[in-house]
Amino acid sequence: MIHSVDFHLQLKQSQFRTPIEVLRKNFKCIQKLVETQKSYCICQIKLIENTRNKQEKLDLIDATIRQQEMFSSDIERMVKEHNKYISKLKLRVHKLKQFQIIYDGHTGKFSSEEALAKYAAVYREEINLLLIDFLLKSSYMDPIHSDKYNSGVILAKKLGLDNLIDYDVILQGLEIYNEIKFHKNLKILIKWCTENKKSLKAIQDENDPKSSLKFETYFQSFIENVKLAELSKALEIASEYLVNFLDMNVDENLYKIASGAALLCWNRTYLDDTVRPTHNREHEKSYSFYDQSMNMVNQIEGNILPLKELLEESKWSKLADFFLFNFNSIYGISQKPDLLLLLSVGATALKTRSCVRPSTFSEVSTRDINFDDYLIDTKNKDGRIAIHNECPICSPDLYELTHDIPFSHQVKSNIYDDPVMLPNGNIYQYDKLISKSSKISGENFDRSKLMPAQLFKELKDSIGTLGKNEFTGLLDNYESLDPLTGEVFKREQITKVFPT
Amino acid sequence: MSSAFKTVSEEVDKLASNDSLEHILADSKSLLNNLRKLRNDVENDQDDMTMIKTQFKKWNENTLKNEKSINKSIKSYSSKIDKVLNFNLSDVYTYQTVDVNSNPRARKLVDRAIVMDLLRNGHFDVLEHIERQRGIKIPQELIDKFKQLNEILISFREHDDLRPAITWAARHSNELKSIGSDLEFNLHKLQFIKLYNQSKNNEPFEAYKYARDNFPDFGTTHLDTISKLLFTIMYSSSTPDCGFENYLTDGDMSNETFYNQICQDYCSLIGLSSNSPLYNTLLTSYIALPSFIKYHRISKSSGNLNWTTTNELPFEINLPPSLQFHSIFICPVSKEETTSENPPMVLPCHHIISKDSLIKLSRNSVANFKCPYCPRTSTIAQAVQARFVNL
Repeated sequence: MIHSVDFHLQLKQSQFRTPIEVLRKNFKCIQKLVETQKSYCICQIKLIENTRNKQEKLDLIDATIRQQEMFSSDIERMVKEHNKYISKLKLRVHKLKQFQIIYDGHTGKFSSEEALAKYAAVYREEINLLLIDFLLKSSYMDPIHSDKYNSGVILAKKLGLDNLIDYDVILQGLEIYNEIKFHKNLKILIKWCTENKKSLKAIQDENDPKSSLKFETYFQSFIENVKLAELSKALEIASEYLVNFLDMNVDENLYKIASGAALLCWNRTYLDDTVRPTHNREHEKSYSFYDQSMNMVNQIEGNILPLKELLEESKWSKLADFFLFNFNSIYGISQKPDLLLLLSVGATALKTRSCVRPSTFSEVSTRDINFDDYLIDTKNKDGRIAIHNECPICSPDLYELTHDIPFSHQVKSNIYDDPVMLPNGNIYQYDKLISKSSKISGENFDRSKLMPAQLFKELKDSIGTLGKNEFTGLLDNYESLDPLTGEVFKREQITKVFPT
Repeated sequence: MSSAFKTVSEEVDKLASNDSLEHILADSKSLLNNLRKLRNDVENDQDDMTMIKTQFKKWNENTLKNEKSINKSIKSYSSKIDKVLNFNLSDVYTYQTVDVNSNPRARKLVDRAIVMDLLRNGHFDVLEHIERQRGIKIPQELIDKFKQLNEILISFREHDDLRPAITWAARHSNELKSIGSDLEFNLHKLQFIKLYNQSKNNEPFEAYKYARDNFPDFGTTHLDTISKLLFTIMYSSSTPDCGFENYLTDGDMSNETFYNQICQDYCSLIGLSSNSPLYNTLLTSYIALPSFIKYHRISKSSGNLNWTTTNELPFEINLPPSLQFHSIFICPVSKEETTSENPPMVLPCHHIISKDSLIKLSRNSVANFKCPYCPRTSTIAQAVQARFVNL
């Protein structure tokens, strides 16, 4: 069990990272406003001083007042924004205190199980936040998306958790992401790069000094111009921006620029023509070793493929992904939705080698995902309700999803006390078998009004097969029923077993 | 112990207590007032500019000072937070993960699991948005099932009305019994207690009538409880402190427990696990994660922990019994977990070992062998394949 509030704090660190970046940006805006207002005022004061005409003077003062009014209301708005995030931070600290109470107050008093039951509501809230986070972060793939009706935002508001997650920031990042990926909007990206110049540099140094979002952005812009055959524009970008990246002693950039430059002498149709026949030539590859001309063709292919990649549409998604990585790093948002990682952690802890795919599931297929598995008939052939496998890994919800997750490591048997075996090999806990059995047989004493006629008949039938006289064929206390199979056994057939 | 949390909450407090921005706003407003005053002065032909100049200078200085102060606070918060919040989940969990980016089918499966969780919790309005936005079609039949559950729960929780639950339980009486659930009786019991408490000060006829109408059906199974309950009626009205009232409050009678039992039994009856699989798995992750962190720490410091079994975690995770869903049997001979390929086998002496061990002991099923735990000898033919069932 987790023993301190720090554990939860670490898991939710973006709650404390995102706001400070928002506050920092907000403050930069204030600074900029103040700067402008200052120089404006200096100017105006001078003008007012040097104006002799009273009316002109008054006009100038009025203009200054209007400007100062606007400035004040801008500042007021930003201070409000600042305070909004401050109160969010305070609320989040307050929420975390719950965990401190749970762990610090009761260390040792509870087993983890009791703690789970007692604080179910607290954990439920954590899990709801994970769901909201996933709904938000994966919303860029939605066929229809709108910020206002984003299902993550709606769920957050409904559950009153909207102050615990900075959905507006997450959605802002995804909006730019979509602009890049689907609308090939480089303007917005260039603007964003300029706004976040300093932070981007820091991220670059920390992660991979060779990759720069700014370079990739301008490089993409260069390629786009080549595609549109706007060569002069392409060259302009190259000489204005791309060259700056050459003196960084980074081979990769040099190589990229060189291959980009190579694009200048080809166009798309030409590249397509050269590469297209490949598919038909697979079988020729085997003997191409002996064929000089084939060798050459293969070589050309090898040279051209990387160039072709530059022109591919997928380049845009790579750029968009790279943007999102940078965006998330700046705001301290985790790159992968935590839901998926924690789902994997939990699944691997639960997954045993006994986890099987229930036979009631519909066939696995490449068909679209539907809800058929949840609408199955729950009854056995003889009308008894099937015993449920409560294991989450065996559920239709997660079975396929967790297929590739590793198994847990089991070193201890967890077999119940008093295990007994029925002649069919099924082993049960004695007490549970008897109480379950008597609950079912109890219905027989209980007049047939509670007993569906069909179940009654089935029971009688099954007893019949065991050769019991049909007239005395009520399940009496000397018999036991296998709750799984519906078979009936005499109590003397139950044997105690010893799993050591 | 919770040093990071201490730092974070201190930093939040420090940042929150910095009111420099409020000062900037106040100063800007006072400059505005001074400008208005200036206008007034000029209007009255007193155009002395020295005043506004000093005020502007003061504004400028103060604002600069306040900017510095808030900037310092933000920077200090950032650097302190960076220092203490250094945990990265993907460093610790280095195994295969559920991935939705490269696998659209997985994404749909995650969506479906979320939909099921939201259905169980009655968030139908949110689901409408999810259906529309994510292109998911939830069958009406499924929604209706959960809507019915939701109505039962809402009238119970919000209106303290048990009747919908009782009606439902009565309709599914046999099914509930066959899954070994006492829910129907417990609901009657709760209703009885409710009626009893309402009419306690007068005459408890209402409760008595209810008992007569409903309890006889449960005579065979719950006679003991029923007699205790009725016993209470006889005594409590005359002697309030007799102690029998305990019968009315004993056991698992808290509303929360009831609420959960209704949920769980309802889901069992419609063929689903009683708790949300997504919820249970995520709950497990909170219990399991510390083991991952510990293993990560040890393997980092010892450099090299060799582990050869593929597709299995290299360490054990202790889960509470409520989160152990399968009977695990470790063969006492081979120390391996039994599986459907290598099932547990019961020897004639009723000791259990795995099939692989059995084959080894019997030298490929030819020899008689002695049970590893008792003197008895047996042949492979006498062993019975078994299966552990959890009820």
